[in-house]
Amino acid sequence: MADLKRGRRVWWKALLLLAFVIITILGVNEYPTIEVLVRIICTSCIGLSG
Amino acid sequence: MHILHRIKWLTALKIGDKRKISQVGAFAISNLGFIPILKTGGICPFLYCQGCPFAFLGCPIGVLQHFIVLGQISVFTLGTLGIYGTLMGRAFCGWACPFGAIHDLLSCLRGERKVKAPRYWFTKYIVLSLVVISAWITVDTFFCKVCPSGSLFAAIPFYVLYPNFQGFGVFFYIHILTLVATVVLAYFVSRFWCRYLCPLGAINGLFNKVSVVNIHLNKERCDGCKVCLKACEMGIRRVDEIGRSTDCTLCGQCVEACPDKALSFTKFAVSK
Repeated sequence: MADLKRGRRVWWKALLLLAFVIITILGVNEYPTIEVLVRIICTSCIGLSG
Repeated sequence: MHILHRIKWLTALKIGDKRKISQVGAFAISNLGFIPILKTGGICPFLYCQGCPFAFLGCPIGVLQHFIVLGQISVFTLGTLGIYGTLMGRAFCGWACPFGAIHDLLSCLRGERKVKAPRYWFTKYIVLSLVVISAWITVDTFFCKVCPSGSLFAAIPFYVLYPNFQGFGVFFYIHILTLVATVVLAYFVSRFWCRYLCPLGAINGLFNKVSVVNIHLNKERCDGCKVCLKACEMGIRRVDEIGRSTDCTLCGQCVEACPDKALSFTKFAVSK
C-alpha cells in the first residue's frame, strides 16, 4: 500500500515538474530581456534619483 | 581516494555546518557576475538583487515587477520558480538565501534571548499581493525601492564602489532605513523578514507540500518532546507542520535537534 502511495506521489511530482519545465520553455524568449535587467544598473534597486 | 575522503568529511558535518557552507557557496555563486560574461538572464531561486554590481542572475520578484510594468506576465520566471519549488520547496530560503544567512548571523549574535513572536504566516502573502498590485498601479517596481535585500546587496555595494556618484536620491535613504529596521527586528525575532514579509518565501512556501526534498516525521519514533519546535527559527508550532507549513525553510535544525531521530530529510516522503 505504501509503495502504491509512493508511486502515485512520484508521478504527481514528475508531472508537476514537467508542467513547469514546459512553462519555462514557453517563456524562454524572455531570457534576453531578463539578461538586460541584470546587466543594467537598476535605479530602483539602488535608489537613484530621477 | 582523496576525493572520497573529502566527501566523507562533508557528510560527517553537522547540518548547521553544511548549511553555513551552502550559504557561503550560494553567496559566491550569486556574485559570479563580476565576470561580465557571467551576467545571465537566469532566475535566482532566492531574494538576491539584480541591481547588485556583481549579480549573476535576475531577482524573481524584481523581474516579475518589471514585466508587470510592461503589462506582461513573466512566464519564464513563473516556470523557473515552479521548477525550483517542485524540487526543493522552500529549502533555498534556509540553505542558500544570503539575506536569510544574515538573519541566521543575527540569531547567533543574539544567542538564547529569543522573542516568542506570533505566527502570522499570511502576512507574506499580503506583501506578495501588494508587490503585484503596487507594480500594476504605480507602473513602477515599487517593492524594489523599499526592499532591504536590495539595500544590502545593491545600494550599499554601489555606494562603496562609486562614493563620488551624485545621483543618490530619497529612495537610497529609504532603502537604508528599511534595512536598518529589518536588521533591528531580525535581531529580536528570528528570521523576521523570512517569516513575515518575504514575497519570494511566500511563493516558495506554496511548494512545501509537494516538493521532492522534504522533512519526514517518523511518528513511531516521536515521543512528543517538542525539542524540534524549540529549535525552529521560523516559529513553527506543530510537529506535523514541519516540512509542510509555508513557513518551513527546510533548514534542518529540527532534524538535528531531535533526540529520537524521528525527523529526517527525505525524497518522495509517503506519510506524515
